Amino acid sequence: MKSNVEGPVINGGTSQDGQLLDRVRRGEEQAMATLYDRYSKLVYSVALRVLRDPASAEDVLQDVFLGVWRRPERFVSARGSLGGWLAVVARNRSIDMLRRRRPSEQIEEVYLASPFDLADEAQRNTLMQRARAIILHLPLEQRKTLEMAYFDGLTHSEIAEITGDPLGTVKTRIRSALLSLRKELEA
Amino acid sequence: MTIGNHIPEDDLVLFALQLLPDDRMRQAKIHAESCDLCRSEIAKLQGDLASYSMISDITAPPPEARERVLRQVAKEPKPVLPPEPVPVAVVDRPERVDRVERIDRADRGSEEPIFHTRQRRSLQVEAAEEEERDKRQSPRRAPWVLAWTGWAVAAGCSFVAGLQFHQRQQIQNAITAQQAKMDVVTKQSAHAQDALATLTAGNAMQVALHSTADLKPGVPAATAMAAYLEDKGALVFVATHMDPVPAGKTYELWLIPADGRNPMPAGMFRPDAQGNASVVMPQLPKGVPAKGFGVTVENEGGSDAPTLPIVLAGT
Repeated sequence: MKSNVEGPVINGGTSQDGQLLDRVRRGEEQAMATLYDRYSKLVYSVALRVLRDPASAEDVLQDVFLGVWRRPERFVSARGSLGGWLAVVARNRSIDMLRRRRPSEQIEEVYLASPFDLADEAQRNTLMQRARAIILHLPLEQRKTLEMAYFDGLTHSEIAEITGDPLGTVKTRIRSALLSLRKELEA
Repeated sequence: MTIGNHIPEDDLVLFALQLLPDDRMRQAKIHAESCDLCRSEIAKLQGDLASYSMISDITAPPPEARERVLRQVAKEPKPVLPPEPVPVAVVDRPERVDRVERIDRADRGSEEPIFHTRQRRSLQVEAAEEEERDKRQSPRRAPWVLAWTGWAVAAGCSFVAGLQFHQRQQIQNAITAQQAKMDVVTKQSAHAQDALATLTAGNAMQVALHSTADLKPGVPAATAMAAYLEDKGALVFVATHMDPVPAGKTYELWLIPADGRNPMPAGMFRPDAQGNASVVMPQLPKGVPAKGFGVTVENEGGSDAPTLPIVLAGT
């Protein structure tokens, strides 16, 4: 997919990520270690939440970071938040592993527009608390449906089968939950 | 399916989640490649999903994972980019003329370096001789043609070098990707072999776990089986008919040591839609004698000590 998506505001932490990625591109292993220290918890936690198995989550962690080492330029062209991008890629890789399917996308195909700077730990923690609070206040059906789709990797048909809800309702719930999250975070 | 040349809103979400059926995924991808609007909306949804990822309980990976990643990074040095091609300079008459002009300017008292008269004469003679040679050769050779030939050769060399470098990099990337896949497959294979060895080992401790809750009429009770090899710290646990675990909670498996030590966490799990679950080869220390196993419900992220009640137990 092309990358001319409107990007987020590039602030201090994100430009730090950009500098680190430049150094990764030049082959500086220390820069890779810094990126790992900054984002490994996030990547591992997402993978663990999906896979519920520490060994498999560790495999995803390695896969994701080696992907950054091998092709750092793929992220730069996407102009998003590196932390957010890594989280989404970790989730997608984990779902692929969970469903025992081949990787469904090249990592460079994930383009992301997010105003949040996950490079900054304080901002990351704030976002974490706010996102949890918002999700907790969503209607139970929306919350469960989004969780099943994102963390369990269930398709809308599978969710409809489990919950007994119509397909359209399942789709709407997923979309409404995400839009509520966006709206509240932007407020 | 696209509506009015755009992907329907609900499908955009499923596309971002990578949960559309394969054929519709392909269609949507093709459309998004040429549609700024849909691509922009997908990027926003990916941003929302990134925010949603943050609700995961933050768990630090084991310290060995860092070493593993950085060791692999060290094994894969980056290709050194070739220097920019330097154009081949073709020097022709201007240098010679310039030398004569500088001498003339020096004679005229300019600030240019002043040459010795004998040197000046020598250079003038040399220039005249070379000019004469050029005149003799001119019917067979046009200097500007040679100049362009030089540039063309240089450009050709640069192109070939660039092409070769690009091809070499592609091959190197393909090899690296294959190696990484091999590493994963090898590890998964070793993991599966260890699990199989645990299940089939004659000295493995086999424990059946049963639900401690009251039986509900018409609802099959949750049961599980654990195979444990004490000397290797290897454990395979399979459960069926497990109740769904509430949001924000997780099942946690515990190894109860026979020597009276506190129960040791042996992995977290959530059952699938059919109530099946497994924990295969969790990280356990070797040589811990087990009295039995138990399962509790804990907050997501797990606990250091089991929280009562025990939902499955077996010794």
